[in-house]
Parts: sequence; C-alpha cells; structure tokens
Amino acid sequence: MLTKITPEDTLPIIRLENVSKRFAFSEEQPNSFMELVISRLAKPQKAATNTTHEHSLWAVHDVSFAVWPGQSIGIIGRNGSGKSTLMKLIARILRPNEGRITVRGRVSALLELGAGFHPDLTGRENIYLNASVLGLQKADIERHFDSVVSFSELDSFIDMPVKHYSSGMYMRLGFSVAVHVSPNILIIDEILAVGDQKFQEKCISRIYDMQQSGVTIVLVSHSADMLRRLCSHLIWMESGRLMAAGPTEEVLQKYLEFLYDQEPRKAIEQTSSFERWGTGDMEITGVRLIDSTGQERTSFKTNELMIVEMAYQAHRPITEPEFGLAIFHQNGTHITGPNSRVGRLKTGIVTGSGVVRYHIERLPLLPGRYRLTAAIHDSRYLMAHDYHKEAYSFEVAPGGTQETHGLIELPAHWEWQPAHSTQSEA
Amino acid sequence: MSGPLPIVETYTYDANTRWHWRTRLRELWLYRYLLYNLVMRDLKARYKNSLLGILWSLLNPLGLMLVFTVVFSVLRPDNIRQFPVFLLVALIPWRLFAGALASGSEAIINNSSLIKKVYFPRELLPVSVLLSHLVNFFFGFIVLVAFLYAFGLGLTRYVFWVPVILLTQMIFTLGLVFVLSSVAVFYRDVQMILDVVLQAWFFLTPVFYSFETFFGPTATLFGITFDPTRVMRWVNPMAAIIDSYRTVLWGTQGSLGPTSMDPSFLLRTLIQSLIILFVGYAIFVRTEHLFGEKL
Repeated sequence: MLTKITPEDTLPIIRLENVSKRFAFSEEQPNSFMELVISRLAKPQKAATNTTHEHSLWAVHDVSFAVWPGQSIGIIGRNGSGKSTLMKLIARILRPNEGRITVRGRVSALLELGAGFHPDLTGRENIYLNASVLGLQKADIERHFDSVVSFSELDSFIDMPVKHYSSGMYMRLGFSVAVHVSPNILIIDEILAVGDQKFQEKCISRIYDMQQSGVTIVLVSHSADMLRRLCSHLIWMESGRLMAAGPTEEVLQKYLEFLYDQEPRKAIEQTSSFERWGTGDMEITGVRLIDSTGQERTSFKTNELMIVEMAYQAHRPITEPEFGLAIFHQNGTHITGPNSRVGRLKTGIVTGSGVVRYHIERLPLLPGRYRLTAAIHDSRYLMAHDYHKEAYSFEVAPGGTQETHGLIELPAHWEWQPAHSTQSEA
Repeated sequence: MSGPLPIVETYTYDANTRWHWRTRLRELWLYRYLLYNLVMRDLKARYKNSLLGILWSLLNPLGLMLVFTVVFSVLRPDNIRQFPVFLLVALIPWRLFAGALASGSEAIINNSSLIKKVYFPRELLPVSVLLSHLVNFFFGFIVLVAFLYAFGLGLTRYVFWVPVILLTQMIFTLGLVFVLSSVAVFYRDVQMILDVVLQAWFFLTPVFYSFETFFGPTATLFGITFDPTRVMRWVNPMAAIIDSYRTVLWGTQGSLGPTSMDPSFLLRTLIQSLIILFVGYAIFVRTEHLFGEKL
C-alpha cells in the first residue's frame, strides 16, 4: 500500500511508517472514580466476553507515506475516514499505537483557528500568546506583529478584548497568526471558511505565497476545487486506511469514481423534503432523467445526451403553461434556468396528463452533484401552478471530459495563429 | 514575506517514545517565551474584570488575617504574642500552596482547546499556574514585611532562609500539581476531592495555631514513645514548611523574635519534596501523550 510521492534527493519532511492509531471507546474508560469502581466490580463478566479489542476502533491503520520539503499535499476521504486523526498525528497531538512518525521542522497547525485565544485578553495580547504557543520567541513575534495585524484587517480593534470580536474577526486573527509564524509545515483542516469571500481569497493567496517560499502544506478538504488549486499530490483515506496516494488529478478521479460506486442506484432522487408551492391547477407528477438509449439514470457523464422529462397532470384546461427548470450546483450556484416560453414551445390549451422533455444534446456540466428545480407557471408568469424547489438531484460522474476547473465545459475550441504567419505559405 | 525558517528540529516518535531529559530540556528552552506568556495570561485573566486588580493579592491575605484575628481573640484568647503576624506569616505561604494546588489541578483540563489543537511541552501549563501564584505570593510578602515592622519584629538575618524554604515549597507543590493535573484528565472527581482534602489539610497544618500548644514534647501510642510535633511535620511536609517560615520570620513559642532554624530539618523536607516532584513528574510524563485524546 505504500505509495511514494515524487522522490527527490532530500530527506522527507514528514514521514509515516506503518502508522496505526486506535481509539478505545469511552465505555471502557471510566471518567470518574465511581465508574472506575463499578467497572472493577463488573470486571469478571466483562473479562469473559473479552471485548477489549472489539470495542476499539482503528482510526488510522497501517498508513505509510512521505512528504518532501516544499510539497503541498491534500488529504481526502469521507467523514470518519481518519483524516483528522492523521493530521493530529502529524501535528504531534496524538501518539501512534504502532509505527513511526518523523517530522522535521516547525509545524503550524490550523486545526482550529484561534485555539487558545483568551477571551479576556486583547487582540494584541492574544497575538503574542498564540504565536508563542506555536513556538515563537519575543523578537520573532515583534518582527511579524505589524503584518499579522494588517493581514487580519483588525487594526482598529487590536486593543479590544477578543470576547467582543465577531466570529469572523476571531477567525481572521487566528488565521493571520498561524500563517505568519514562519512554519516549515502548515497543516490546514478545512479552514477556508474564514469570513467573507474576499478574505478567503486573501487566505488562499497567502497560502500560495507560502508555497512559493518553500513551506510544506498539508491540507484536508472536501472541496475538489480547493485541492486542485493548492495541492500537487493527494492522499486518499478510507476507513483509516490509505487507499491511494499520488498526483492530485489521478487520486481525485479514483476517489470520485469510488464515491460514485458507493452510491445506491435509484431512479431520479427526489429530495426527501422540499419546498413546494403553487395553485395546484396543474401538477408535476414526476421528473425523470433519460439517457440516449431511453434508460432512466441519475448519473451522467459530461458531453453525454441527457433528457429531463417532466410529467404533468392538468386538473382544468390551462392555456400555454410555462414549463421551467433550474439547475444548481451542489454549492448553490445557479447554473441555468431554461423555460419553455423562451424555448418557444407551443402547447395551446393543455388538458389531462402528458410529458414535456428538455433535450440537452451534450451535457456541459463538469463532474459533481447537481440539484434540479422543476416548475409549471402561468403563461403570463404571474403565479406558479406547481413549483418543486431543488427537489431533484443528479450526479455528473467523472470520465466524460478532461476539464476540471469550474462548473461547465463550454462548447468551444482553441485556435492558434502566430502574428507573422509567413511559414504557412511554404 | 518571510519563508520558512531553517529546519532546526526533527522529532521522531512512536508508541514507545521515551522521555529523554536532554531533548525535553532543549524543548522547554525553545518554548521559554510561551511560559512567560502563560504566566502573564493567568495574571491578566485573573484580575481583568476586577476593580482593584492586582491589589487583591495584597487585600485578600489581609482580609483573612483580620477574620482570623477577630475570631480567635474572641474564641480562644490565648497569649500568642503578635498574633496577626503569627498568622500572616503562615497564611501567605499557605495561600500560595492551596491556590496553586487548586488551579494547578485544572491546568490541563482548562486548556483542552489548546492541547487538542497544538503541540507544545505540556508541563508548561502546570508550571505557569504555579509561577503566577508565586507572583501573587511576592505581593503578599510585601504586606507581610510591612506588618513585621509594624509589630516591631522587623527582618533579621534569618530572613535569608526564606528563599530556601520557598524553593522547598515550590518543589513540593509542583510535584503535587503534576500528579493532580494529569490525573484530573482521566478522573474529573479530582477537583471535588481536592476541595475537601485542602480544607482538612489546612486544619492539619499549623497555620492559625502551633503544634506546641497541643502536644507535649513526647507522646505514647501503642507503647511507642515519640515526639508528636516531629511526626506531624514528617507526615505533612507543609507543616514543616509553614513552621520554617514562622521560625525565621516570627520565631518560636519560647523565643521573643525570629530565630535560627535547624538546617537538617529543612534538608529532610527538601529531600521529601524532591522525591514527590520526581514521582509527580514521572506520572505526568507517562500520561501526557494521552491528554490529546482524553480531553
């Protein structure tokens, strides 16, 4: 299972050799003397069932990998796969039960922003405290102090006790300290939810700068986008084991395919509860996604044919109903919102039941999860007959395209024309 | 923009990683500024929301002294000379001990957010609590000196014993704080028990009385004749420590003022304290790798 990541001539900065970490479940460990006494009294029965090993959980099992100085690696995996435990092992907060960990240099761990801030102390005092927790001396902190403050944009609040800070200000200060302590290794655990979009971008660009200057970065994230932007290599954890390690795109593809395989196959997924409103004069009775062979699917690949089929039931004659769809990325981005009026679908007066289909010849969506809204409106667009807000979801599985950035692949092509194209004559 | 510092430290650890005094000392040295900041945090946080701030470390022992003086002059009007000084000389070191023990036992569990997120030498937490109480002690000591002069006792050359006694007390207290702070991670009842124990301990230590008023020179129990004062001091190092302060600053029952102390007496207590520190630190070091997961 040991997969080496681009060996270079230097020594690895982080090295894990067959590392395992086991957590005992709390029932085994008394938390007070009373429980201790009770557990001792109950011991005879307990020993007979010999539960000690069944009740423990391998949070990390036999994991080996190495990271070389200046590399940026990401750790991916589902919740509970052992990512955080792995981080804590590297950050020296936990000690392995088996195996060996070697870490060279100072680690700054962004496991929780502003961990150890004291609410009664001012921002200034907390900068000194927090930076010294990360191992800095007074002179170092004084040297970096101004840049910490200006980065956090808290200049006018710096002498205020942090208990009066908003949570965004708190995290900004925490992030700012952690990235200014000149670490050799920066560990980031899903932190980039810091304040507003603008500050997030600032954090990311700061991380880029640190990468450029040779800091080794270990990032845990669920965001494929973030991992692509920041990491050259990924480590994929599943149930405490290392599933794959290697270049980002390679591991990410494997991981996404794995997630896709894990998912139960269903007809179009209807979100268990969704917002629904409308007059009810005309109802959406079902929505299906159909592929080129006429099969119903919930997973498509980029550039495939996808047909969205909406079945309806009109309870009274309706003149020119307007069928509408909206597609959202899982992150909430509204990608498109086609409707039959703009699409020039003429139906006249509709009675009874039937279906309308929206043909997408080449699905431009990149791999990811998407949600679908279906609606029927009055022709003058004044009111909804039936509106299923983000009621359906589907997936675009990897494999249909090489493109990875953003949400869609445009129907476009590249062209090259040098300024002095005399050679083409020859 | 500053790049990473040159790599100065490498650490390797596994399930059998053993404590090594040289690496540990080097690491503690690297984190010396953290110790300073932790002490400052303790002091600032303690007085941040109070009107009188650090003045309380002067006012508090004075208040207690007043209470005891009034209570005892009513209840037991015996003729201990300069009773307020007799009391203060013991009360101030006792408060250092009791305060450091009570907050020191919480040193680890109260910092769980730090311990779960960042690595640093864990012993800095109990040590910093102890040092912040020591700072308070110095303020209290100023008050004590003022009282010594006010009651006409002043300071004699025997005051040079105080640093040695204080050192002994710190060693003893630190040893206990190491044990309590690490055990408290696993069993939260430590605080509850400590409350009661400290109360009992206070009465078993000659703070507002002296052993001489209770015990004769010898006593016989189960046919064995012994000096009860000696036994009490031997069993309870705090009794020995408090009596030492009193001897060199106030005197003894028989004397009229501060007097010299038997060095061998303090030496024995020092050795006892060193053993406790050694055992306490050993327990701390053996359990500290579990702090990150138990908290």
